[in-house]
Amino acid sequence: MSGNACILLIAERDDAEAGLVAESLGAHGIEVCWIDTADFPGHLDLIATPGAKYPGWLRSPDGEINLAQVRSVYRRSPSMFGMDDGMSAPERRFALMEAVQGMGGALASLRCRWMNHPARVADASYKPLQLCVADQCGLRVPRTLVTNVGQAAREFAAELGGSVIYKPMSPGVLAEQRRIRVVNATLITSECIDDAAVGRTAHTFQQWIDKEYDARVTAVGGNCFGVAIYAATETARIDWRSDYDALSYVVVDVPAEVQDGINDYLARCGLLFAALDFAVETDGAWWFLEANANGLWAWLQERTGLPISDAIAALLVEEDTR
Amino acid sequence: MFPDSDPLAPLSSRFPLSPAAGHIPISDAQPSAARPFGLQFAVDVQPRTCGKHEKKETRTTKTKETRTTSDGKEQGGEPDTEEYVEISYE
Repeated sequence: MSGNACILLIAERDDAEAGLVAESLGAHGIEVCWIDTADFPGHLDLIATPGAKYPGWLRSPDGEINLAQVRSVYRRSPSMFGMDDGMSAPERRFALMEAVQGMGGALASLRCRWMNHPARVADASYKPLQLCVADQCGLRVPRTLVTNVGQAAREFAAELGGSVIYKPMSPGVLAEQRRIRVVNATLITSECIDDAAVGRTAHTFQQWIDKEYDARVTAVGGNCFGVAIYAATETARIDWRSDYDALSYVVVDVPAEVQDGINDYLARCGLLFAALDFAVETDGAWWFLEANANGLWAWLQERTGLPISDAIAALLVEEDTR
Repeated sequence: MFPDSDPLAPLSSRFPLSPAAGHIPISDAQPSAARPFGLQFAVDVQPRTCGKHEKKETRTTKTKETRTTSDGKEQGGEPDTEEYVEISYE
């Protein structure tokens, strides 16, 4: 890497994944510039010159970042801009949209290697699109219905033997009754499908895969780090996110044809990183469930010792020949 | 049309950001009669245990002075407060 180049990390200050990447880069003497979008505008200055020869600067209490010297960007779930609490709601909305345009636009226009570019992350966040792309890449995809028509959902469930998975497409987080609640994937029967309630928004129903274990594949460039996730409870077996204490982790080889499909998936989506979830049957069939271009992996590295942060660091430093 | 009013691809989604510092505002809202089907499966969030990367549900109360006149002077009275939960997912 050339003398003045730096790797830009865009993440919350306490982000575990970004921290591990910074450690891996630091171990090789690579300069890291870390910004948290929550610091903008109070503690992070933007001096951008779009269209000029040099893109401009960022300035924080930690120092200045010459955007022309950014070699690559590691973006990991940055947080919302930190607007002045004294603003009214309309003022805040205006300020946030200007910040998205100004800071977001200035960063997104950097012509360098991104892991991952925010626009690609946004595109790849649509679950129906993920299933379509996975199918095009030769990955095995469960039958899925997205609908607001209860009768269609019941017929779909009947075709699949009466039971299907209901799963949210968004993070499924709900703040109500002074509690934070989340909707996990749930195995349901056709009898419980309520036409009026299904009619109130889009709902996703999916074929239940009677799996031996779940697999999380952390894909970094051409490297696929596979971890089998075994669940000790029935609830966790349906959705492992529902009970982390019931899980155990074992490193697993990802079949070559699945790796090929994953690499094709990343290429089609314009991603260098994704965390992909599969259901694996006893006969060895791998079923694609979803992919998160922004997924967490630090806890898996800690539990299994897989060198995910080193692989990410290596890719950030590598010459971009595109 | 305002760029962020496109329901299929709002401009803000082109540079996706999490809620500030992973904070989710606490709400007193009650389940309504028009509840979508999927929400009947909502359960309380379980903290993730993952060694040094563990994230627990943390509640914080932040005081936010919003009772001001149009010229920015305080109107007096009890300040509004906002309560947040910090948590992370997947």
